[in-house]
Amino acid sequence: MKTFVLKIAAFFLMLVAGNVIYFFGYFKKFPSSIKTLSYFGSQESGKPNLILFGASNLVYNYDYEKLSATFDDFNVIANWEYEFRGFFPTASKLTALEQTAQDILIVTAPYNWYEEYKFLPLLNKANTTKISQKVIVNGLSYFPVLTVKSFFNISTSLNKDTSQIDDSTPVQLEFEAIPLAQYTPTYKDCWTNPEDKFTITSTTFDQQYLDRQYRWLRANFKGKIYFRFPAIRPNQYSINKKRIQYQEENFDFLNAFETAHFADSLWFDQWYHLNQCGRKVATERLINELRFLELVVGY
Amino acid sequence: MLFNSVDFAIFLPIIFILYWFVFNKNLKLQNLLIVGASYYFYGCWDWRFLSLVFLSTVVDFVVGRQLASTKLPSTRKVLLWASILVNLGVLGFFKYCNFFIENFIAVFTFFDVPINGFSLHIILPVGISFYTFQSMSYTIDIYRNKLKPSNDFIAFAAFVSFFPQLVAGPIERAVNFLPQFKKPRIFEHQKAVDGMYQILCGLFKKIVIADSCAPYVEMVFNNPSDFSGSTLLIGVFLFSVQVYGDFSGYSDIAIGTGRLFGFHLMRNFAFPFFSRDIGEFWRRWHISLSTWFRDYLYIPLGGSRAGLGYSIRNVLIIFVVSGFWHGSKWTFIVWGLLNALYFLPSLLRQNKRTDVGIVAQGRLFPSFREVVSMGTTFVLISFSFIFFRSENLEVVFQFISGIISFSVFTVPAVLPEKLFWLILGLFLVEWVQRHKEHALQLALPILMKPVKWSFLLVLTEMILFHFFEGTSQEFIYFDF
Repeated sequence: MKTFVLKIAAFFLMLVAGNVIYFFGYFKKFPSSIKTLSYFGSQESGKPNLILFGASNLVYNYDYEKLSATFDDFNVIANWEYEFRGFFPTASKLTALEQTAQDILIVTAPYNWYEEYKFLPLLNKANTTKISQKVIVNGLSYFPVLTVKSFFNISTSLNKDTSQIDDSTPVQLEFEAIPLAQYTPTYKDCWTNPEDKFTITSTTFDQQYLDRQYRWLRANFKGKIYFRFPAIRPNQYSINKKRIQYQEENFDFLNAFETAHFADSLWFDQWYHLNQCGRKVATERLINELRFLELVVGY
Repeated sequence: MLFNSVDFAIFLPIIFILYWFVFNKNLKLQNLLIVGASYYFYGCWDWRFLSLVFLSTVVDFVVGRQLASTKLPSTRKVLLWASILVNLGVLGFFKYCNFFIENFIAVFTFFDVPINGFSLHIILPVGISFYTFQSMSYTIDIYRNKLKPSNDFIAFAAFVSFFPQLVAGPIERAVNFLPQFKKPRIFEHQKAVDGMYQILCGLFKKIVIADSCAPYVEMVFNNPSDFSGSTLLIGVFLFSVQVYGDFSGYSDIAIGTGRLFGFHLMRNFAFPFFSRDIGEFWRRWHISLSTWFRDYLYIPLGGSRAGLGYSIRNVLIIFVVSGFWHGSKWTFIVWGLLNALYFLPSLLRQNKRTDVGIVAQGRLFPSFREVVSMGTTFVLISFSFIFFRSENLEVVFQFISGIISFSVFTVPAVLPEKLFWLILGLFLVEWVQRHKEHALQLALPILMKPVKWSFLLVLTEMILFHFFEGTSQEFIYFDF
């Protein structure tokens, strides 16, 4: 028994040592390749950016061509990743964009991105990109406890991942004018899933955690930051009341919770995704909010 | 809880330490630990269905004791049927209820007699097809006087719920497995090491091979009409590899884990893709299920001793039931029928079993005839897997239409080169190791130990790499 346990321990130590050495770049086993970071919209140099930040709600809910035509003095960009990749890996994609002080960032993220376990997921279950040294190193410097915890997060076996922005790997930015999902026939037909589109549960509320998220954005984004409630159903208010109230009181919001509701017929396959009909309404609302912002604060 | 998860990687060492260091002096406590760990393991998926595991355990334990204390044949028969009905009733309700409702409605609709139908939102409890069969083998063997009933409920509960094989087999027999819970387990170093190798082998087949095939298979089978015949062929090949890697991988992990705790679980896969005919394939694929059906269904029906007509009937019944066991879809039933049809030629020729040993025994390379036989068997089995994997018969027809079109000669849309090399590597290692229990049963001289350790480290790295960066999937057989 003793020999067996010692053998397992020795094997495990060799494995950890090998990974630590590889991780810190002293032994690259595989050649680097160009990493593509994907966004929606377009970016031309010389123009400030109007960036929407979120998850797959950005795939379905906005007409980027219309937004670009309306706000033609901006590059309209959607900085997004699937929800399972988490807040921090998606936010770190912002740092790859050419930023200016006149940029506007609109944070319209799904609610569970404000939860600790979805902040810096590092264990993968679905389509992924490579674990990023930079994301982890940044995570360790800004959120050390969270970063370490996310390595050992066993509270859920949900998809966790980071997106890659590795200093040593060349990065190529790719902009897609119209998200592919918007070409889906059912989406274009304004189809709505008749079944319950999944239950949105309440999320925890940690004031300090929300503040830290905002401080990170503040530190890594050159322009102005606004928050915006994503497309939601009214029943979300009661289950997330405290956090919503805290956010509304302490951060700059473009919209009110009540103006983020959508009729049931405007939803697509789940309660974050609008169909084509919903997208038209959502885009109009966003345009009106930004015009109001321009009027009131001159952006 | 999945075998390929961080949760399990933490769960297993904890149970291992408790088992061998804390409760090792007391057999009853050790068995109780197994029950507790197994119920926790299963409960991580859905604790509500623990009641079904418990029900199966209690019913069969009580029936077993009553069977032994009753001499009257009629009473014994009633008791046996009670056990079978409870187990199959639970299985039938959770697995087949909607199938029967939907087909009942479909029949009436076909004859223009619409009826208000409904379907129940029934969740299929993971592993129900496995543990009910395992528990039934206990009462059936007692009925046949092959086994004495257990007086120890904890040992019996541990036998039914043993976590390594609870949700996807191997389906153990009480005659072989239950006695292992009644005697003290001794830690054997070599068996434990071999168990770890087998776990590694299973994880490689599941995470590196099967999960890598999954995205291509899903893409092709979700929309077969969008792809050329050549792409569909690649999809079929990859699915064959995926289901093998997935299921045999799970079995390897289960058996290896069992070894860590001093248990011997039966072999479930014996390198089936090196089979030279269909009969050999079914002696090497999902062995625990096929032998269960052989011993508890085929032989009681008369087997092959009651004449050719009965043999054919019995083979058809076995394969249709086997297909139905896999799922409540017509595609599974047709899959079973197709495999039965594959058997027919040898039944009609009344061939004596010829391919009983290991292919190319004592030789490194197979003969040309053996290559042709293995290739033909693989093609036939892969073709049947189209039915196994497809969502419905319409998809099957789209698939087959695509394969028999001229587009089969075009360049495929997907050609995952790296994956093909991995699959080739796996099959080469399995070929060399085909006379062993599993592919990583390595017996190297002491001087080769650094080589062995380096190989195992690389293998583990590949598993970790794919785990963290690949597309992780649930085990296919969890759906059964």
